[in-house]
Amino acid sequence: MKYSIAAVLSGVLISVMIWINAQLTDIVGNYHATVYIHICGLIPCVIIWLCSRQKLHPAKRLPILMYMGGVVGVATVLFNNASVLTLGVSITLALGLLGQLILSLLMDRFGLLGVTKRSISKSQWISASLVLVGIAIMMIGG
Amino acid sequence: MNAGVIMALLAGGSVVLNRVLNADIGKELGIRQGTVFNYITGLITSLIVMLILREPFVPLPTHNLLLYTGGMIGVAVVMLSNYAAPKLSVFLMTLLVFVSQFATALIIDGLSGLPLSWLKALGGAFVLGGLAVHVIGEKKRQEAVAQ
Repeated sequence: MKYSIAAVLSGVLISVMIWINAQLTDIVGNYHATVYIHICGLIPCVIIWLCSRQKLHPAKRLPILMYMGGVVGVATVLFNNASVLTLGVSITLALGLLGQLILSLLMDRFGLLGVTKRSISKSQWISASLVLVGIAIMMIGG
Repeated sequence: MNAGVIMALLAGGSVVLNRVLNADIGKELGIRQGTVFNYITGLITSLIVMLILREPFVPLPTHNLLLYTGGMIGVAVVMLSNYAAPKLSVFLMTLLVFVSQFATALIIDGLSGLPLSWLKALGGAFVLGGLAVHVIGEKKRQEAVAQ
């Protein structure tokens, strides 16, 4: 399924991006890096948008929350940094995944923020348990 | 220690929240425009944070062009994510992104000469197993529904 492939590709690129951004952060520090990374990202995506010649969709009456994606992204960086200082990278990542799974299951189960509501199947409980064990092992190994 | 644990869990939650919000706005305004909004709001927020903290200004380094590509790759990530997220369950998307992210991280660390911790790889194998169980389970569920 092409959507799954896109998801996998995004995961690969995230790691590459983290690696490159870490080198920038080494040089200019965390908060500067966040600003520069956003600038470096804003320019190409505006260009892509202009090249597509899409009409500007009127900012319909969308809930303000929807526009907050970028704000939440900055929060991710700050939370991660605060955590890495005391726990180190691997445990931060492992716990981060746990946090992701908990919220993912909640969002699927209750259909939060417009996500399709789905019930949690038995296999999902098994799957989540396996992932939990995996995270625990990674934390021991870290 | 406790504060760090809470921060890490919140970081994880914020990753999912970010993705869902961006996918939502991408559905309404289109992927390209949604991504632009994401970066604008992110830029404004990080500028405000930087100003509040009053950090001394450090210019963007020009010697290594590779450093500029992080932002561009981020754009590709956001677009791919907006493309795939509405079509997959949040749970599956999280698993797929994490497994590929972790596998790539192991490869990058390996290429950089860092020793591979076999415990980490084992943990990753369990996570991969969890993903497999989920995918198979979903397939069986769909087959049962189709009958």
